[in-house]
Amino acid sequence: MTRIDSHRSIRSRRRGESLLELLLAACLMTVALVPLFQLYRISRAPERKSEMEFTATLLARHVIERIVALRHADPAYLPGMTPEEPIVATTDGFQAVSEHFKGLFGRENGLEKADNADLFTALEPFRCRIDTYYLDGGYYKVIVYIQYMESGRTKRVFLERLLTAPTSIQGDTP
Amino acid sequence: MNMRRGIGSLEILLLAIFVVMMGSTLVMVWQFSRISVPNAQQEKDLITTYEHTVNLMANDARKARSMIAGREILRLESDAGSIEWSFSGGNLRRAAGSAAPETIVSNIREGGFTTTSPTPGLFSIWLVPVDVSAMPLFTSFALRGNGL
Repeated sequence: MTRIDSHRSIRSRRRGESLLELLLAACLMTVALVPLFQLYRISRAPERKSEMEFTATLLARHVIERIVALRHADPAYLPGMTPEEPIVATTDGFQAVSEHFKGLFGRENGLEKADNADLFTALEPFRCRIDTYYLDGGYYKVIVYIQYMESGRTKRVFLERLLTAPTSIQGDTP
Repeated sequence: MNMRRGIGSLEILLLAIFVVMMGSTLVMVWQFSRISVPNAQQEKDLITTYEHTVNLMANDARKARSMIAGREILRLESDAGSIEWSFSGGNLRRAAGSAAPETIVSNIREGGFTTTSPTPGLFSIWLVPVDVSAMPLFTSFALRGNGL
């Protein structure tokens, strides 16, 4: 009788221990869900474009369309590489405005705040950079980058355009 | 002597903790998934409207061979006829041929078309909405009806 009671007690304790382990594991797994969910949130693609991203895309489109129009006017035209440049006139006036944004609204040195304060404020955070490459087969690749800051992070939108390079100048990247 | 095993046992306590933690985690996940930027719907609507405008204008520019651009009126000429875009009464309108103008964007405070001399086949559009917190629009289009 005593032996049977002892067996029951051991079995009951084991069941209790295994349940305890199971619950502890479940607790840990529940806590582990939090960083996993955070990782999922960070890694997934944004559901929609932000206003900044959308504006940057439209600005990159402006540059590509301008290049297309300039090529139409002069088939030998090839855009050159440029560093990051502002797209509206800076308040200090020391930084040159990107050539693709000069001449807008009749302003040779780029849009100024006095011309259109709302548009100026909206475009001021963006900067434009152009990269160019010669490719095999006589092609010339233009990549337009529009850079901006959002949520404390530097972000960049880019659009590409493949142009045919005049044979006379192939080999040198302007 | 048998230990009394009742509702206050360790297993039950842990089970309760587990249920509470699981519940709070699920609530947190639900809350996080509901987080959104204020006025997100309004912002999304504006972007959708702008995207529609840009797509329409890009289609018109793709077919256009020439243009007459004024401060608030743009006329695109193509083989299929002419299309007129205009700013009037705080709206951006599009009229294809003799059809009645269609309002594409409304609640505009200021807007216009602009061209520059080195790029005769390019026009730019800009607009500033009435709502000061809403983003303005600026972009350009090349005329591609001449085989571009």
